[in-house]
Amino acid sequence: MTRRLPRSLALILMLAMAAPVLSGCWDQVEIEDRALVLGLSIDKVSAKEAEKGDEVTHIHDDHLPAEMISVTAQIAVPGRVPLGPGSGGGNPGDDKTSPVWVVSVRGISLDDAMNNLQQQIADPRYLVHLRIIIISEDIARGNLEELNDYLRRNPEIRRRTWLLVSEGKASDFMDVNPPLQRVPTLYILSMMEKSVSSGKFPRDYIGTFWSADTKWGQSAYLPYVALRNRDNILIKGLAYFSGGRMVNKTDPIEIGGFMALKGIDPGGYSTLFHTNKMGIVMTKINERFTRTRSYIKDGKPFLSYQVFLEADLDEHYGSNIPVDSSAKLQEIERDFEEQVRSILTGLVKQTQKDHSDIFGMGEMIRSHHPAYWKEHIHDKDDWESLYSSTEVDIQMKLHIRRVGLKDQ
Amino acid sequence: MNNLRQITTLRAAAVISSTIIGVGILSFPRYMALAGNSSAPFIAFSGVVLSFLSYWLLASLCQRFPKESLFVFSRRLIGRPLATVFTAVILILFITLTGITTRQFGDVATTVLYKKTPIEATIFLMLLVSLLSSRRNVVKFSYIHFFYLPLIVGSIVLTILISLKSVDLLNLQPILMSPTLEFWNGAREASYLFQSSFVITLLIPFMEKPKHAFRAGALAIIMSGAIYVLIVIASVGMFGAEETKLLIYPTLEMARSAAFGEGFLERLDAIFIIIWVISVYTTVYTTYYISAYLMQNLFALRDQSMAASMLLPLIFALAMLPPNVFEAYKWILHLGNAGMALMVGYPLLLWIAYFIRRAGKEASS
Repeated sequence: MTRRLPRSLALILMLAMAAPVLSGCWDQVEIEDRALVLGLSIDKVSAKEAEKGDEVTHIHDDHLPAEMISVTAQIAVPGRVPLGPGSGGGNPGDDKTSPVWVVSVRGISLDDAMNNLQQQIADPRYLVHLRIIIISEDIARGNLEELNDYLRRNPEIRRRTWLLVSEGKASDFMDVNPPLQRVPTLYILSMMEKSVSSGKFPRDYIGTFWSADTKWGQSAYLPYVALRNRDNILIKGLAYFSGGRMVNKTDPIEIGGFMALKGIDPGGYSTLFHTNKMGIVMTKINERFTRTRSYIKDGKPFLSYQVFLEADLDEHYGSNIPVDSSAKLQEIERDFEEQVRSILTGLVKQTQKDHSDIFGMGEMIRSHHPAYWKEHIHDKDDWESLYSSTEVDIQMKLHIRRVGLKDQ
Repeated sequence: MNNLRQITTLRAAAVISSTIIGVGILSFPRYMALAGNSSAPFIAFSGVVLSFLSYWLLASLCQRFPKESLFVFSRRLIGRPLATVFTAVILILFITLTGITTRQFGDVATTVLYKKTPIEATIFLMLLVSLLSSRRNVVKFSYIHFFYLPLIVGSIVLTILISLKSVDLLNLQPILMSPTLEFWNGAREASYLFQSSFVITLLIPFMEKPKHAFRAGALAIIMSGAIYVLIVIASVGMFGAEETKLLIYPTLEMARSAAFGEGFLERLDAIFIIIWVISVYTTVYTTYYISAYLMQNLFALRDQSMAASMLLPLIFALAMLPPNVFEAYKWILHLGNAGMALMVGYPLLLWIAYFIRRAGKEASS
């Protein structure tokens, strides 16, 4: 018994010491004490306006760039973000009940701006729930290096965040007030996700963008969006990049063309075109499939694409000739093939002019002709300039499978 | 306690593979991509083959002395002083390995998980847990590994399977590469991850069938090798070789990007990180255990638990030595180099001594 006593005493002491360790996390922060940033928009500030910085991260220094950016953040207000449709939440237009708080700050870099933001709000900001970043076209056309570095380095940012390029001011998107969702960024998010699942846009997260940007044989692209009627967001095309800067953008229908060339399913675009004999026809593409081959011909890369599309006949008007036989369907198919082929060739030509290989043709050459690649390509610029003189052959095959409920 | 031979072949294999799968999985694809771009999986595979060979060299030697561990029979083969020197070098190697591995763990944990928790706390806790478990005997040691292995392998394989659907096969072509200097360096670096298969030397005297030691290790290396190769395939295939080179922890990024369906089951990285912590624990546990065992052996201490406790401050100090994450990685590479030389050189030396002695015995009889 006398020998047992010290041992049990020691045990009790150890258990008592273990108790505080079991009580919880070292760096727990209650959710009410977090400023969760849901969306960010980044605009350029003209040099004239940029005079006054807040100098939170630096004292005036001539070596730092003079240009500034303006960052607008949408911060979720705890307790006011509705969990489901119709459960609580206030009117977004009303500052007192809005589920989000929109804060605007300026800074030399994104990190500088985020520090300025932190200086202005009480709760520590968290980017873990950041889903949407919108940058203005000015920013995209400038150097994205700083932005990419900060976002890649920060462990809170996920590669499944959407990065969008906006026509005009990006901060306008933080103020949209769509009736379908209470939180504007969540609306933009669900819009992008749904456009992916309905074949309107390729899955192009910031991670996809980064991967394409680093690959030597491919150039990056981003969704290009615009505001209509103040509250509506239009996916206006692809903003494509060359040498790390945005160089140009496509039309919306060319997104469909791009997806057809890449063979991305499901099909989602409809084409309205004029046929030679049967008036105006509209077809809706349901499935895309593409076979790609690459060759080296006379010391030059050569790519051939065979695009197979399956479609519905959606609309037919402006002519008295009924569509009632397979011969007539085939005629429509031929007219479609001819016209869409010219859209695709036009898109390829345009990107070649801009030295932006969004199709990843270089990656195809790299993986299938490594010897040629090693000899000719020594960095990304080499391919982007060679891309312009690459020959591309596109074959189309459309198959109309359904014509709807109307006979003739 | 009468029957000391309690470790089955399968359990020995579990110990080895859960030891191999450790802190390295997070950064492994980056090294492979640096060495061979799109041929990264091929390099990883070659590394597995290399480590397989070096394991065979060690295990087949140990199988010839089923009753003793390496440190005991080496005294008979090359003489007590030389054997002591080698044992001491291996001890230093494993102590440093334990320290730097824990440090790497702490770096990841404080960067990604606990931003405000001081790195000292994470490192100390990990070492404390390893210390407490190292005080147990080798049979319990094998049970602990056997228990955790399905958890580790299962969740890593699940993450890989989910990620495989976003793999772009173009990123993985061309598959093969010519055996240049970079190729061999990459394969060598890959084989470093498998060095802890050295633990078999401790297990053999307690194995049910010591003759199956090689089989156990082969099973373990094939399984963990497959996981490593799959991880490289998934992350290089998902990000492309150039992007993989930019990321400090490509595997973690892979887990962070993985998602089931659309927004249905996202953020698998939380589960992945928890499992990863366990896999680090099993690795640190093994190297800690080896260090404690060697120390007891070397200084003829009465029991291993005391050796384990004495090691804690030393290992903790070692873990705090590298000033930043780049230094830590540089150290681990140097350690790998030293380990490689030792793990191949020492068994070779013992083999030579073994043959000479046998020849001498036959000549005398």
